[in-house]
Amino acid sequence: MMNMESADNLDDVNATAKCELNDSSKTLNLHDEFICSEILPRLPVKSLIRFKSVSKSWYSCITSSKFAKKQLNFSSSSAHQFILPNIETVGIRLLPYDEQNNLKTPVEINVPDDSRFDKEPYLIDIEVVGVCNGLLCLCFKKEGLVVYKNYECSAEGWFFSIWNPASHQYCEISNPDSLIFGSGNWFGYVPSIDDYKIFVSFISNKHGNDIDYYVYSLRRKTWKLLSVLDKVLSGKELLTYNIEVVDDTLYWSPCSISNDERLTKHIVGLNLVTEQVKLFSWMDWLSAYGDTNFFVINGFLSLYCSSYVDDDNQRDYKPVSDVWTLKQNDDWSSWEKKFSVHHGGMYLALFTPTRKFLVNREFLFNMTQFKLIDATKDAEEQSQGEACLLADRTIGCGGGLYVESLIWPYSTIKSAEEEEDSQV
Amino acid sequence: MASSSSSSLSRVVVKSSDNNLFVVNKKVASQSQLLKQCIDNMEEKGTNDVILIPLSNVTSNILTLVLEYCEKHADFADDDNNNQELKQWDHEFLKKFDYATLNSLTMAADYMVTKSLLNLCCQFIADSIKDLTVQQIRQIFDIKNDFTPQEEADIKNENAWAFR
Repeated sequence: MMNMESADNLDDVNATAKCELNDSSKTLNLHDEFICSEILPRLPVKSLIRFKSVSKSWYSCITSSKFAKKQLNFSSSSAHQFILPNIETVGIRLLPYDEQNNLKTPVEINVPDDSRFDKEPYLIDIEVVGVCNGLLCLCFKKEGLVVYKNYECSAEGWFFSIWNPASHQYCEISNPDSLIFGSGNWFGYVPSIDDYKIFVSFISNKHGNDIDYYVYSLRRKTWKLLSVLDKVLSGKELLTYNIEVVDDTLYWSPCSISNDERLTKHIVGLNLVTEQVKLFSWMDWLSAYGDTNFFVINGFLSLYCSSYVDDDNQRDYKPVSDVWTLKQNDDWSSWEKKFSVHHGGMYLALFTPTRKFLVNREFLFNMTQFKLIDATKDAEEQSQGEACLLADRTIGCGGGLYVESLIWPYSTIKSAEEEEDSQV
Repeated sequence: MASSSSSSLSRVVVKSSDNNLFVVNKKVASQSQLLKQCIDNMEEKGTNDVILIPLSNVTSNILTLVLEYCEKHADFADDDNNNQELKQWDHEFLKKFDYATLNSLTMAADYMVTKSLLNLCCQFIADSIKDLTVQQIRQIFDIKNDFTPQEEADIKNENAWAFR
């Protein structure tokens, strides 16, 4: 680059620029529209909530659902933390990591006070049903009431809630009428109907089955009994904790409560929009593995498949797991082995859509070690990130990749703060 | 320098709003989608003349900065490994400007469709305002508070935690 007619006097040039900018070097004269679409979505949620009081135009920008989605996109591109339940404190912890896959010191975050916490019996367990777009779906369980088979539990024994930790919004969800103990469940977003759903199985004897399946719509705020599953499942199959969604369809491999080993294993696909159910046969190649986990990679349904080391006393994982991917969602024969995860025998906890796998193992006495395995790299380099050691063995159920967002599907519902204020 | 087309230009001349001319190497100019589009159009027409691209919205001191950015990024265009060095350079590059320059640079990046510079400027602005108070925000963006005192108090009370 060369300036052919270099400015005779640089001050003149500066003067021109300043003139354009209303003679001020302390103001940014950007249009409201530009600020709303290009600057504000890059801000953290806390700043945005504060900046709602800047002006009416900023308020309407920040509170629009379109803006929440745009902010989510920016926030997701720099997502670098997992959320995990902490059973010991019945709380939640954030586990951040950096670009070199080093895990950082976990941060405990306080779950908002729920009106049901103080009533006896007391909470004993917290489960992260799902983490999606900055929203957490939590399931709390209370002492003495969560007994699996003896039905010594009541509808008060457990409950769900939705929580956005970044925006401090929290909402309690009431259980479907008098149903008892749910097990195995899913929470997530269904893009085609712009709704968030919770999918749960309940032990019940209300409808002639042992198990009932319910879907909760956050948009409609109602539970719906899914009797369509009765026809294909025997009414004795609980959901698992390992359910994934691809193109509006949930996939899982149900587990039987009848302990009847003869029941054939299969995979269920439930379309959340059309409520159509498909059954898929258990693939032959899966017999080479002892344990499988569904997950989604780049929008493709995938299976994380592990084998055990044969040992009479202990069942340890082999140090490498394989990842299989369904190349075409409509062709069940298109499963293909894609890559291997070199975890050194550790257990899969969570994963990211970018081929990173959070694994853990018990360490020494009462410790848990976490590592982040980066499967985009060569075998030797996959586990180079620094591990994180937690001084407890209280690894709870569920969790996921967390991003800060302003998303709140109940736009008409008051925030937790407002509710607190109105109670005072 | 890569030249793929049969009729290919190696340089273009860019004219600032205050009528200064800048000779810009094609690879550097291609960092701006606006300039790249002009070059592509001319090459399709098969011209071998040096083309002049007038930028009526960009002053020469701002254009100098945009071209300095494009030049640096053109150097790194084929080289992913130096990512970290380039990030460092980007940061140092923006750090030295006052709001007026940053404002003009952002508008120029938008106008010249230099996406990475636009992202860089916007992220820089976002990072530098995120911890400010509402009053400071109104000053920097020259925004008039159009809430009534009651309305403003209500919004603050609803979200008191965000003001701590």
